[in-house]
Amino acid sequence: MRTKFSPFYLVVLIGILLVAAFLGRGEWSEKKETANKVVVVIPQDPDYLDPHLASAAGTYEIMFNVYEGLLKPTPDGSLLPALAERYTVTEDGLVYTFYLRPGVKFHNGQPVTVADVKYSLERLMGTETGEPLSPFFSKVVAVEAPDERKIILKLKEVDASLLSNLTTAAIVPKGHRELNTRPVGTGPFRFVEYRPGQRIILAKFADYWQAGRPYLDKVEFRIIPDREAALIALKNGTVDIYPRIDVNRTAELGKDFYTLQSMQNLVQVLALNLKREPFTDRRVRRAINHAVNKDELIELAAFGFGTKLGSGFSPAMAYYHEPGLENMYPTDLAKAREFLAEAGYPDGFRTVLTVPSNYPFHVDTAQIIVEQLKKVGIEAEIELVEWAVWLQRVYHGRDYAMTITGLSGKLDPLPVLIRYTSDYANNFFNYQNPEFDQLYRLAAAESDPEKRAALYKKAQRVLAEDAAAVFLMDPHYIVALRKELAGYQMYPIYIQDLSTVYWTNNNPR
Amino acid sequence: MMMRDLPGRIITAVFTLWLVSLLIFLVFQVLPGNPAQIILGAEAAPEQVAALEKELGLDRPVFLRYLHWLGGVFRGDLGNSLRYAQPVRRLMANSLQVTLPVAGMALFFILLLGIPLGLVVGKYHWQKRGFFLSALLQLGTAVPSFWLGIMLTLVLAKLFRSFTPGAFVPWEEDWLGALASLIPPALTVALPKTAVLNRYVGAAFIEESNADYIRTAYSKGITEKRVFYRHLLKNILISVITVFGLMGADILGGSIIVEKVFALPGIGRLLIDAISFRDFPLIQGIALYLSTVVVLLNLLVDLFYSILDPRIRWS
Amino acid sequence: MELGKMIKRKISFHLLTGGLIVGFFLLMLIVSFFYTPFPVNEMHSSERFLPPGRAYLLGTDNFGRDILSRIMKGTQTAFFVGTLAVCLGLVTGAGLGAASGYFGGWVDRLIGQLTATIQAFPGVLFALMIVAVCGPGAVNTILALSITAIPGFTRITRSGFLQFKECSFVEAAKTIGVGPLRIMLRHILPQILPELLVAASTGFSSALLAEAGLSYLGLGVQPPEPSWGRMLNEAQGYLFRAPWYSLAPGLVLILAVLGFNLLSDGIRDLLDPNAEEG
Repeated sequence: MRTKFSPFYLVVLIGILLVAAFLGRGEWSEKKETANKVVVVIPQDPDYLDPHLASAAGTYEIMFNVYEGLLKPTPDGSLLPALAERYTVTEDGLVYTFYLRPGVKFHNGQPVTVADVKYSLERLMGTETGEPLSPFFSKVVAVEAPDERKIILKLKEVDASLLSNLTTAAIVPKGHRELNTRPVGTGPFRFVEYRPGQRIILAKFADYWQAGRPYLDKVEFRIIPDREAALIALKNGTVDIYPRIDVNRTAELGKDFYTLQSMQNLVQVLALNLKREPFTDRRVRRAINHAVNKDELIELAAFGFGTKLGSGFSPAMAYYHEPGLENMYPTDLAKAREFLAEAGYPDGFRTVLTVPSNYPFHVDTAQIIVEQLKKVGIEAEIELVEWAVWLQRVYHGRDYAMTITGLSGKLDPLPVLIRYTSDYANNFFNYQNPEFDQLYRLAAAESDPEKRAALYKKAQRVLAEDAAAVFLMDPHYIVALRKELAGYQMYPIYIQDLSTVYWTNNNPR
Repeated sequence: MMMRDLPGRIITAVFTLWLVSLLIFLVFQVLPGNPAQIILGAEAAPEQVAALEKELGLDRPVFLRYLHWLGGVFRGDLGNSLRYAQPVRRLMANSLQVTLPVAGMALFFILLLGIPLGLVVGKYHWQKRGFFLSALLQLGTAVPSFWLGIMLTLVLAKLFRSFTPGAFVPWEEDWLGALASLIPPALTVALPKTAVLNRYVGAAFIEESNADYIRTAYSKGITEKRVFYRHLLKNILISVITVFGLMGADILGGSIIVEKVFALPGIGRLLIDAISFRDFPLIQGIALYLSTVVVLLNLLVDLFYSILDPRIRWS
Repeated sequence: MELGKMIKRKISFHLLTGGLIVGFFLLMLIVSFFYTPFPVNEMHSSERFLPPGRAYLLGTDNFGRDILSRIMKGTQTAFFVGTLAVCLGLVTGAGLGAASGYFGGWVDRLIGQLTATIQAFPGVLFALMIVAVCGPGAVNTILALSITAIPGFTRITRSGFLQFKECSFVEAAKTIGVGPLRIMLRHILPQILPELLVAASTGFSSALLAEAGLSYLGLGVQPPEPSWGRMLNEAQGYLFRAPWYSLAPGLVLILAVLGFNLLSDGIRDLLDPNAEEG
């Protein structure tokens, strides 16, 4: 039997394989258009396109370009009048009057009126439904629009965070029912398309109230959850901006890119359940604080790109931050053992460290901390749980021994510090200290900024002295950009502001 | 015989699909996690969570939601995803735009490489080169597809600067680009399975060349090529169907792992998302699709068997 | 060239190579209990991403841990999960298959429906669900893998029992009043044991692959315990910086799977009387 199967076939097959691999290089998938466009890679889908329903930070960072409030945050953390051109506050801090900026238009062409503002704020407050969509305006008793320029907010008590909360209270057209599928705002870009799991496309809003902005015609947010894939997409030109690139990968970028970095106003914390033995004992908590080597941690987990913390506040907000606390518990194993012995655990103890599995950074941190605690006899077992389980069991159920998480920063210190107050619903630390509660209350009611800052600082010191948790670091926020791009601004909050970004060469992409 | 069994088989199949959905429902009874909470993030206020729960209908018991879903299925409506607030059907259609082409191409590669190589192995199995080749195929069956994918990424990215895993462009925008970006994942799915097909085809070839009638033909001095090929073809077809029956579900279900390696927005990634967001309707929809594929495939494979070889009965 | 001789040589080749590889892994498994070049989880912040060299034979990972030590320790994980998953699946599957084949009737139909449902349930979905309910970890991985392994063992046992339950020696045993359980265990089971053994060996290699896959997805064995799949998961993030980190666990995994595949081929050829005839 002589059939004609020859090595020839193999050659043909290998040829096909090579052609396939060649096709696979994806060169054809590159954009052929030469629009004035930027592609930003983001790791996840937005939760809601309706700004009043949305609460995820990952949504706000995108929709910041679409929606605006009466005020807008600036890169240095202060507040810029946006839809309100100016405002006044009465001396007792209970009545705010906002003057609407004239000539501002929604993306659908309608002019912004006081009725729209009233509608938006009342929708958030749940005035009609009785069910507020946002908890931030609980102190507002009335929204009034006496004439076509004025919006008056009346408060029942002083609210130091009202103005910064108004930056997230998007103004939308009155009665627009399809915000979740057809978002309409006043921002520099208008919404064009959202494909779940793939991308969100925005286009320049020609009638934007800040003349000349934005510079770009089109912005695409490309959803790539995988960090490796995101990096490759950046390197080969599919993507132009990669926010929160892994610190250890910046070295690979080469000369076609540059990076910007800053503190991201995030508090990465090793929380100890203060209602659970042995963490009820402050000496144990101090021992752990002495045992955890934050410098080594920053080096190993963040490749050095992190700022050491000493309390629940990042130096990113320098005005309110109490410096020096990060050196309160220097790494000292002998001292740690001493504290443990005093507390009755001379040989250490066994415990469980619960970590959300979807955050590789926290998982890495956990592995390092486990090794560090081992040196003083504390045997911590890592338990990875799904994010859903973490939220329900650890964060809301407070059923854990130790956990690691990142607490995101705000424009205002109050929502950062409220996390440690005794009766706060999400105080998963189980931290209870009347002195701290008192400081928080005083600060919230204080209208003098300087006195307020002093109170905040004192509160931070209390947290540190109590060793309420192990405050680890503020991992730096690093953004990688194509070198022809300029104008990118870093904020102390989680947003991508593309209104100031532009191509320096007139031949984009 | 076969056709008479068919209605019964279909009823069993539908029953099986229902059992799968029931099982998922039961799991949901004990599954920790609140979709509204997950969608809104850690620091959402209780008011926001409550409002969303109401909007999504999560305040109703799971049992009612399951019945509602089941009723919808009979009307051809898979409901709305909690996470994306879009029809499950549309979400799945979007993902299948990625998964099905990968499956199709993978199948193409498997047949293209598997059959000729298998014949070579069969023909030369008693020679050194055949032996060498079959050893190589042994190795092929042992390679985990995700590792192959990682290595392919490494090699392709080193060879071609412009290669991007996960840079899937929607078909209507650039169909050629979309196709190109799906070839490496298809290869990753195909290669280990090709090795398996090879072995089957090789074995079929050996069996056929040792069959008595061929020997008789040889002893008579006749080269009965035609007889040989006809039988060989049938045997090859049987091996192809066997292999497809074994792996069709894997291929059509979209390998979750390969989709992760190449960061593709396929059905596997949608499923992982759906589970982590406790998106009940979406999970049920995807599970229904996946188990339908398995059940239908088994039915089809049996059907083909009985057509090709009437002696083979339902097992 | 005589075909029979060639096949004999091939049998011994499969068996020999497979046996050698499996033996090598067993050796590594035993050694890993007493000795690894470095403590498995020890981190060296100044020695991260070292390529393979004299101090670290297979290099170091992102924490400066010795990759070789972690691969050795990973053998324990792989064998622990693989062995238990296969044993559980085998015992349950064989039990169900035996009942199904021996008793027939509604028992057969019930068990048939059960295995059909398991098979129709998408495998990874199954694992994801178990992990979602019970949390990730080695034990739950074993649970998921053993359940998905059940239908295969059931099918083999069932067809074996169908074939043998009407054999003369079984009929003879029945007439002298031997109970069903005894008949099943003493008379029929030994007949199909070889086939089950082959299936178990193949099942072991698929369990190795499946465990690695689940751990790669982050659902299987949890850090800091080393698992080959988990190592690949972590290594992929440093693919271009430290390609050896992705390479080593993958190659070890392939070798182990190959070993068990060859071994099961070897056993099958050995047991199959037709193979000798050529």
